[in-house]
Amino acid sequence: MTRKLLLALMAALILISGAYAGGASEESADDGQTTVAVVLPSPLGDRSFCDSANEGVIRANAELPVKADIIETQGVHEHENAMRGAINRGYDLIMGVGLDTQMMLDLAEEYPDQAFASPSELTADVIPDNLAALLINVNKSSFLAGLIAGYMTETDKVGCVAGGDAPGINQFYYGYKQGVLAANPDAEVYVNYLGFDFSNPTLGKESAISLYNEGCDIIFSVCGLSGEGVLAAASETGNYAIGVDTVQDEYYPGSIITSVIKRVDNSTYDLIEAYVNGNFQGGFRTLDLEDGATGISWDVGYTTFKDNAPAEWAAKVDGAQALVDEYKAKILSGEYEVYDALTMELWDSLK
Amino acid sequence: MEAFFNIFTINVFESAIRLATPVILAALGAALCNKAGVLNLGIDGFMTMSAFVALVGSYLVRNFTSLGQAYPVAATYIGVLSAAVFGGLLGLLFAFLKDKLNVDLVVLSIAINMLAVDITVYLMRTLFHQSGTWSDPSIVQLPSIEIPLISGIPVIGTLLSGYNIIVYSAWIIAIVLVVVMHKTRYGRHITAVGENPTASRSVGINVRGVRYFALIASGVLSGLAGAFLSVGHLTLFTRDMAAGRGWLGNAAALFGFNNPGGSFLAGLFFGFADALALRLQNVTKIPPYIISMMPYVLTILILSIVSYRTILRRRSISQ
Repeated sequence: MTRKLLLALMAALILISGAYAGGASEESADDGQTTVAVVLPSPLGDRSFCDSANEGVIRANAELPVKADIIETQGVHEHENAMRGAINRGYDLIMGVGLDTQMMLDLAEEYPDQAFASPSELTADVIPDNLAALLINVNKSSFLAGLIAGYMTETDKVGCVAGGDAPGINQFYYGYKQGVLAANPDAEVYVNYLGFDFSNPTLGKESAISLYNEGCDIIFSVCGLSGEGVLAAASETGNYAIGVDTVQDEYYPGSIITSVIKRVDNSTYDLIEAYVNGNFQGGFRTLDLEDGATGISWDVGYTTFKDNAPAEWAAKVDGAQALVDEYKAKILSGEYEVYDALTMELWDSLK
Repeated sequence: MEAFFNIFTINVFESAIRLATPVILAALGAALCNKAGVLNLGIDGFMTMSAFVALVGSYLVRNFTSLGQAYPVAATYIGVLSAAVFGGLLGLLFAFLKDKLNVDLVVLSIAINMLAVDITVYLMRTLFHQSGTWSDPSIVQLPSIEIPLISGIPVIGTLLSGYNIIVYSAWIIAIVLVVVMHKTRYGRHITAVGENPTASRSVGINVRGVRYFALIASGVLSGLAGAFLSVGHLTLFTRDMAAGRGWLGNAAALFGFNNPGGSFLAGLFFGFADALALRLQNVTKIPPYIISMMPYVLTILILSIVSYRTILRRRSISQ
């Protein structure tokens, strides 16, 4: 009897879940207005890429004659389905945020008349004309964060917890290292790689503790969700950290000096704007400090650290800001070159 | 040589113990299940869900009961307790499905592991509107406890004292399990059920009871392990928080021949390897790839030596 009841229950559950999955009726997206679909790699609320792209979409909907939709996915297994679903629904422009490069290339080839775009993280040797691929270079903004760390450190030792030894991550690390050494030639820069463990805050925290024990007083966290552990360690041990990707200054006010940010909101908005204005341009482009696509949290008005840090550390903010402004001007005028791990052989000065 | 010993600072050992704790708990649970002949591969999923339950439990008690508002730390302890109970209930569910419906535990484990990651993200999202990470500043971390007397001893005091209650629990449970498995009747019953359930039943051992006990106990242990991750070591939950530690626990149990003592040491070994990998990057110039490979290479090496010795021993017995 119980077995029959259980079976009936299971059948009912399957039916219900099926009804929900198929239930959302797919309305046609085409009513004359330009339509854009933005496919996200994971659900909203990640305090990173997805939320940032969403801000760009909200701004585009408010300011441009366009109807932009967010399509959330639950993970990599849904990415291609979501993209194909968007294609079938007839969106004019389809954007994939941080999705698999090969899948984007294949889809662009399969549907040559469909416009695709990626606001960040897409590089390949050959990019089709109907795919606008952007890559946000973070070496210069990391350099600025490095200047701050080099200027502020009291132990002349700073650290970096990096997700893995890959060019995309090293672009952060070596930019930072160059910045530290530019501000403070006596400083030592330690790095801990986590072996591509990007969702392991426990390991991130132990890694940070190990660096703080080594004498570092500032750590740059470049390791995705594992970085949450790094930031927690900074606050717990009374040391300091620098956040990454989005503004993380407010997670532990007074412990996080600044954050190196990727302005995916800006690049998303710019791509939509270009398409609406008829300036859509396929192919590969990099965005940089110059384009306002990356920077540090201080650029966008965050004073969380200055307001909450101990007095002697807060007092250093103005000096650090002056140093940042000085180098930023030099970088923008082309007078000063920052190492880029994606395109260059490692400089001797950074080994 | 001095440089070599410089690598092993007291901090490395402390870090190793913290990193090892969830693996040790998972390994003890897995070993117990393996001994009782009920393979539990769902430990990783148990851990992820329990980590979430611990944090949510702490949060609710902290903010919505007068006890939590008066004593924030008590809220965290209740969170840990709720995670242990929740883990135990998952174990009970496993045992029930195995016992009543004869569900294949491997298939069930796969389902639980897949469910764990998504359901926690789903709940995090619907309840707290976050999908990657959730934390609340009101929740306090499980406090570190200095053991009186021991903490006064130099070196050993620092090494053995100053952890939270889950770390000590892991040690105590390991000792208890060693005693139970090797010195008590019930321990021999567990082994007997694992070796041959039919024969055990015929001599009057409560096979069903043993299986229920093993699965529920492993659930409670995974619950503690999950709580260690979310409120013991940090005060946050991230997507896929167990990060494969449950599987590492399963591996450690096999590594330790499903004996509680061996599993404890194997878990400690994995934690130590992680801590050492971090330390080596600070003090040597060895490429990070090689360093992060080392725990696995060492595991293969040790397993090879151990199984070679077993072969040798068997040969000498058969001769």
